[in-house]
Amino acid sequence: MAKYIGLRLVQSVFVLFGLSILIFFIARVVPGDPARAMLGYLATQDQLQAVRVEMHLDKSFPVQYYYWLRDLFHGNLGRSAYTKRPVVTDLVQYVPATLELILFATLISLVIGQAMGILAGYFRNSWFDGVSRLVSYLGIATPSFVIAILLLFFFSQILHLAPSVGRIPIMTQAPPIRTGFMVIDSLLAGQFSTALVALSHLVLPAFSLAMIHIAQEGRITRSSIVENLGKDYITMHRVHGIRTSRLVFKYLLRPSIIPTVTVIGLDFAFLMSNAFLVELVFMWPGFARYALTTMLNKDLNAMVAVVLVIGLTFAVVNLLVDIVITFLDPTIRIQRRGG
Amino acid sequence: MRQERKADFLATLAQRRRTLAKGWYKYSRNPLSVLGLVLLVLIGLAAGLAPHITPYPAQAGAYTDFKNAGRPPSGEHLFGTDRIGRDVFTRVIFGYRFSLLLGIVVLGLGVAPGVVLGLLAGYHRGTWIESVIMRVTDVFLAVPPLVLALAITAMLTPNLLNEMFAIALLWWPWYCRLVFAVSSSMRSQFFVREAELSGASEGHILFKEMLPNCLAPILTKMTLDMGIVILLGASLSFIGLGAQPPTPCLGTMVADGAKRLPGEWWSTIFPALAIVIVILAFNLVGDGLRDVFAVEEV
Amino acid sequence: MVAMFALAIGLWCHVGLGAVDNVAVINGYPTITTDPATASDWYDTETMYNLYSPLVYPTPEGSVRSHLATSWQAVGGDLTHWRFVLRQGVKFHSGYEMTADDVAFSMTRFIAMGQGNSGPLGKVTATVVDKYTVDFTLDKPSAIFPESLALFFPVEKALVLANIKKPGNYGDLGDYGNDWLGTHDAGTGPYMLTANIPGQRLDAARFMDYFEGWSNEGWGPDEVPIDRLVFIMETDYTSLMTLLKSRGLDLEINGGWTLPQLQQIQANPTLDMTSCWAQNVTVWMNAKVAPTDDEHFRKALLYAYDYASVVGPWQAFGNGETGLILPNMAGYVPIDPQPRAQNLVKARQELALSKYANNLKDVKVVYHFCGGLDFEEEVGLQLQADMAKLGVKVEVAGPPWPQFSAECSSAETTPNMTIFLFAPQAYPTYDYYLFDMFAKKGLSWIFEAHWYFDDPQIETLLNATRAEANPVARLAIYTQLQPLIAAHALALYPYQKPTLFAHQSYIAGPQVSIPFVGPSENMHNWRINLTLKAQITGQ
Repeated sequence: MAKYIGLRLVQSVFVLFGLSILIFFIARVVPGDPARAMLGYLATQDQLQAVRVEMHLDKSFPVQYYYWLRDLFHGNLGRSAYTKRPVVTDLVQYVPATLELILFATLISLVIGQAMGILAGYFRNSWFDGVSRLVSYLGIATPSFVIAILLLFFFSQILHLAPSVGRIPIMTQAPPIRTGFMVIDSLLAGQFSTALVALSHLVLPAFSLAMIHIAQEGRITRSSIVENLGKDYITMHRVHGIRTSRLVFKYLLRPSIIPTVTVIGLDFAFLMSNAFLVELVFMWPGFARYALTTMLNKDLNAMVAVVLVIGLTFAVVNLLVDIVITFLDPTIRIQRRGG
Repeated sequence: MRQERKADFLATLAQRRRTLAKGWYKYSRNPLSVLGLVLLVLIGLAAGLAPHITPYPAQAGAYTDFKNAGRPPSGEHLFGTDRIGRDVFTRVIFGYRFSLLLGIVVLGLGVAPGVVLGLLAGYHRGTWIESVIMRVTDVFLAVPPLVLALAITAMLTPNLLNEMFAIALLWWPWYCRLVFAVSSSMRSQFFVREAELSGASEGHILFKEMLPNCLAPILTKMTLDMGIVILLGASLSFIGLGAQPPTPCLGTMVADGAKRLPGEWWSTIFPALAIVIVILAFNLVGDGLRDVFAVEEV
Repeated sequence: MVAMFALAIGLWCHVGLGAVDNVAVINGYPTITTDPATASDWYDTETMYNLYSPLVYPTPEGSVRSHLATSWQAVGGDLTHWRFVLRQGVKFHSGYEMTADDVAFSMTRFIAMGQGNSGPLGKVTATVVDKYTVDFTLDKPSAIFPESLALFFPVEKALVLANIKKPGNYGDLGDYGNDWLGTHDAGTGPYMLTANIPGQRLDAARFMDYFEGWSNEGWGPDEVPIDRLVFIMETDYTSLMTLLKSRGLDLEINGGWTLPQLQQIQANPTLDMTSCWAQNVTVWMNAKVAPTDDEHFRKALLYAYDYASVVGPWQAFGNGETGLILPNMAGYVPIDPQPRAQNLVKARQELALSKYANNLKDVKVVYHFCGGLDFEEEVGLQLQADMAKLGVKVEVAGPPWPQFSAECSSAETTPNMTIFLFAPQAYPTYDYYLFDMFAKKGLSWIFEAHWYFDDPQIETLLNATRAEANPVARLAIYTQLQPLIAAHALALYPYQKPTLFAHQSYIAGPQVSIPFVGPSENMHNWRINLTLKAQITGQ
């Protein structure tokens, strides 16, 4: 087991390097003038050229990569041409915001998705099953930003509640930053009302993101439950008089955990870069929005850093998922050891 | 000699027809699957016959009428008009053409390589072949779709064709992973060992033995993906990549109209409903197909 | 369960806030920097005018008046040597008085850092003459030097020098305080920076000792200066509308509302709209690429375009017509077509005179706009529909910004037609709309009209504007230039698009409308009516 993890870690490092080279190449191929992006419209040709030399843009590609790599090992990811701050500062500010959102969305999708799937599977072909199938299809088909806009509209215009945009209301004092997670930081600072408000601001955007996963997980869980309900060992357990709830949680859910966990893992990393439309609508100061902005402004240093963060997230999450699956499914464990 | 071959050929044909008939019988047991098929056929017909069945076919092209912009649904304009004054109903029907084309081409281009690579990786599990393929897959998965799409369409010009190419390039890793998961568990099963022992070529094992068992999850994912591809096209169109105006593309219409919610709801809701219906149809068909295949599984 | 409960409590907290705050929440475009030496585009200018004071201040007519400098003159007669006399008693936010030392330091710093708005000034050397007089020596004579100082914001020398970070790009001077100025200010403006998260949120508080004072003259009895500013930087207008309606947002200065939203705002009795400046919508035509290389063809485009259609619904919000400069500027000369309407007859005539008259079916006009912008797309689609009536194919595409801006960096790669909205953001504004865009030594990139033609007479006149010290004579040249340039038909000017500031009715806008970026967003010119606010929010 440890050997397997070690091997995967080494492989992940290689993947990240490959990724950095790929994105380095792409970033320089994509059109746009980073010097112009940095200096603005009134810059003269001399000024632009000076910045290009400073950013090593006049040198060959391998030389540029070498400079970047050297800086990386000093913990320096360069300066963002767009925010004019060290990229590391930007990352520290924006990554936790999106992480908090995605974690909450994953939690919601797990709970609601599983519940919906279990009930639909257990009460197969009932009205509930039909309704949940409909909800699934709608959830998959509707873009998350349309859900976001509709939710915002519904809460503000129909229910006449104050719109919960941003992480906390504009005029609320933010707690001192310790983890970057607004809810946790507020609790740590003893600002309980702020923590609650932050939580309430998380609900709508997280739900918009979670919708499609609720739909997918509902379907996977449902079909797995349906598939297993008819199996012999379930009938045996029933004959022995085991309680339904225990039956569901201990025996029926197990087989569906693996595809569920895999899907959650992949989607978690996917969301890091794709949550930007929801972040835009809810004015969430997050990483996905930052990623979009840097790409559209050809902010070289930030672009490369952003892709590395996403790549790292993928690598870490994939590794975790694989480890969890190995624990859950003994056959895979055996295969890995021997196969 | 020729007589024998002809007889063989006819026999195979008859067998195929029987399999199809059996398959259809099973498929048609489920009314929802039939509904899905019917919907798909209707949509396909509508898309094909678009210029003949829509009230204002010219408005799917170079047409502006700002005086009539933003009109709610009425007798004249079933789905209202968009911000340029064009009839939304006409554009939705024409939009089916482009969106379906987008989905089919992307999946066609993206699924095949992904499946082949996944099969290879699964079969050669534990060797360097698998490691290389899967790590390359990881790299591609980690690049944000936006960056890749930006880069590709930037090197080429932004239009529907290049957008399809760019999205297809993003798609294959998911199928590779999926097929890898399924095929690697099949690797050690008896029927594969048997085929190897009896001297079958690798190609035969991959495509005749392993692939049919992967078909079910592939098909399911493909039907789910149709919608996602169309919607991804929308996000890209949002920032200027992809189908250029005035091409009606359902995803683009949704992204465009989203800025006008909730006031001019018709310019988003109707294209969105159109997408939902086509995805629903694909899903129903996909579910039906899976039921058909399930029993035939080894 | 927990989430719903939290939602309920959160709402209760919202409702609970009752006190009437003297604060204005303002939405602008994301500002990138609060260092005046690196500030580079119109959104940075908006912040600069609040936290800092420029040396001279724009006037409504397009020239400049005294501000931090009370008077100036060219010494020695060759327009390379300028002497500025400074106002006395101007306080920095730290409490210290501004002197010539600070101004000279600021200019040296501005030029040394070589970014943002310093480009057009060239190499300027600053010397202190006495406590309130400073000399600037230029490397090239420039009659418009004083006007260009409307984007020069002096900083406090001692404070900046005390906060340099080493190592930096400027040797002993480290990073020249660039990092520190990102989150602090060393200015003299009406508001002081209290907190800044770049690209996201900026907080500022009123500077009580601001040198212009906070007189209530001309304002109503309940209208008081705004004590605190909170700048947020959001770009999704659906969410902004929700925020505006629920009074979470007080003022919006980016003006990206859609037409239906503007109509909603107009209809709402508790919301107001103020229009200060407008953008000159300009469609450049590339005279080096077929078919727009033919002057008659270009003229045909000008006549074929239906000016009333796209613009029609917008007319309710502001005057439409525009030309090489904005109509509100003195000396504006209307250009063809007059009257401003589609004239297909004349368009056909021009097409017949062009060298493509016999193979119109084979030509293709490529129109590019920056992807995601609706108005620019609509202009293109209108043009496409209009030219289709004449049998000419127009291809409309909206590549994303990096690609679009890269295309526009050379004459060969720029498409036939490209559209930009030029805000009056550079000073002097006449120079920006004329010299910068049409003179050989003008700005390049998206301001590139001068790539496309060669006219010695126009070139001479444009150079003369920079050498003419007398502002009246200079204006005469500007007036003379416009019809000459317009004769080349290098651009289509569909519309003067007003930037509409939507705001709550308890926030009141500038008494004097100065139609340029910066002065309009200077919150020193805005007031808040707290009684009205209490009434409206209490209801």
